[in-house]
Amino acid sequence: MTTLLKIEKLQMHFPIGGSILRRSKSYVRAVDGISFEIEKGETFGLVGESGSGKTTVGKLLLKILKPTDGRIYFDGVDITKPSRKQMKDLRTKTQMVFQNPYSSLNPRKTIMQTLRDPYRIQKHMSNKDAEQRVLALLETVGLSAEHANRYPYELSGGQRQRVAIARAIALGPMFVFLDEPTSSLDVSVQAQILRIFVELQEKLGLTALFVTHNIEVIRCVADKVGVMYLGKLVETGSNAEVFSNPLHPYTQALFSAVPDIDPDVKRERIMLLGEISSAIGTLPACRFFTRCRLARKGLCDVVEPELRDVGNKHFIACHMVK
Amino acid sequence: MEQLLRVEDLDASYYSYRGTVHALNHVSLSIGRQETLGLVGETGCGKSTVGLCIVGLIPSPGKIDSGRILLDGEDLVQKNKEEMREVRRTKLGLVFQDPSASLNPVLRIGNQLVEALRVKKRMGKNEAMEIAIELLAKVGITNPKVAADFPHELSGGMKQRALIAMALTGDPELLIADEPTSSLDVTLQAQIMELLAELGKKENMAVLLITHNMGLVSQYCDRVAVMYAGHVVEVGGTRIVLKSPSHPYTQGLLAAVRLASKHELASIPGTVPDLINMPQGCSFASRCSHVMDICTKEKPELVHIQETQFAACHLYGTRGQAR
Repeated sequence: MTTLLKIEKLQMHFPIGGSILRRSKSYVRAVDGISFEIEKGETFGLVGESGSGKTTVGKLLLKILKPTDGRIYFDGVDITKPSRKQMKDLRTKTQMVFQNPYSSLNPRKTIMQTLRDPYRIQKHMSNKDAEQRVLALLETVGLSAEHANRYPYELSGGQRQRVAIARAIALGPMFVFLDEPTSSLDVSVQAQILRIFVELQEKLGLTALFVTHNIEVIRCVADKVGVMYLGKLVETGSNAEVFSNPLHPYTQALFSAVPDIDPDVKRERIMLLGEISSAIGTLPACRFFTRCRLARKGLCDVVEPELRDVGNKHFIACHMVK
Repeated sequence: MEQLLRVEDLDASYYSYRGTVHALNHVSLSIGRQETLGLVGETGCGKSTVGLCIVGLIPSPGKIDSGRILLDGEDLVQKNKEEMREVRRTKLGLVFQDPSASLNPVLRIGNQLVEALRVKKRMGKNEAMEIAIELLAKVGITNPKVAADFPHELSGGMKQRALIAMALTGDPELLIADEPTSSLDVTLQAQIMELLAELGKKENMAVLLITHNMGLVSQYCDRVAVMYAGHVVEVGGTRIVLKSPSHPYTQGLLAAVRLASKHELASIPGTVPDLINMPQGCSFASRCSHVMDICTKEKPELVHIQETQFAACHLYGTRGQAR
């Protein structure tokens, strides 16, 4: 397999306060030096709680945000600082599906108008040709021609999310970033959307970054999994490896907090004390130190753990786990 | 188990310009003392409306059309505003989904609790503050300084704890928790749910847990009622309903939640019917794989399936006694 996307020591620090005249002194370290690779045709699932920086990672990959440090390689090319031409090319190759289909579709445009534009702008197609393409596109996401002339408010949440997926795949991208695509949907619809995603991915050979806080969804669709905590990747590996053998104390606690739908399964719950701490001006220490049950003073609170290989391409960032 | 709350044939509607939205259709359920009942269903199925009807706070243009809500044998539907307020003061506690929207942003946490205590328990200021700090400790906020904080100074989990403390001010017999953890992360969800379960036992409260999360029902509820389009379609002991669901909707819902692997994704085809133009027969008929002639003509009643399990589905005919 070949690598499609590779990021190295990616960093995004947002300044807080400050003004034109006064430089801000503190930063929110939303993403703080993380590295991973996504192979072609693979789904990389990123999980973590709110504020862990998972959406920021996706936005950096799509060049919606400019990283403060680090490198991004797409298909072997360094796109950390893309030229205008590179950027235009990237826009057709990388796409995004947002969390909330109620706000990500233009309420004043019909579905046809929304989906027609990519073909007209990027492929210079005539309206007629573009419309033909849109009808075919709607079918691939399980909608029909009758939906084309409707406005978003006339569709249900699941149907809207299908339109959002259709828009993302319209130009045949290589890479799609899905940011919590099922979080605003009901469970019976969630499975429909996941199924469409899986089908399309196999048909089109899409590479995807799938970001969600829903651990069950990640377990279901991801090939590789990354667990984030306060801007750091704390554990990463193949789906089977991470889910059957979570090693980082945070991953263990996170997985154990998910209530099982089988009433006979009584998971031993590893309760985390307190809440996620702030990502502002963090000192060199393990981010999870304050809530960790294994933490050792004098080590975990002064030295930041690096990701290390524990075999089977399974990486963890923890001093205490052997 | 002795019954605390019994809802009988409750009908409630919202009157909109488009027409009458039939939010609840002959909803019947009961909660025993110290029991935790999970009320599950998808968006718009009426689960929150049930909670609002019980506390008598269904917002206009909504109203209860018919039915009875018996709490300790007293019918709450017949009570006027003043009497209802008395019931809420002494018997009911409420926790809503979004803690930031439920707390007053310009009052300190302690003062909000004091206010509730002074009204509910007719206490003096100083005594109320002492109790407020005790209550906060009970929900896991042991630092008394938090009482002097404003809601925006607290994190989401802390706010939800404060809100639970507030619901406890009247020593309620029934705590209605409407999606108490939906706006929280999973690790916090676990903390809050453990807290609710523990409080339920310690304070001898019954809990009505309104949620869309089957996992929470499975782990924290004694019994479960499944709602679909304003109807209770299945009710029974949690274990029996989750292990052997009898209503096709419950079966579909559980299969959809299970997310076995990416090649075995189950979902329910179609969408929920319009609550304004409800179909004549079973509300699930248009999406059901077992649909029969009778399903589009007659509304099914809840019938006994086994042990504590009841379902409203024509598949089970009149096998049991209608309840």
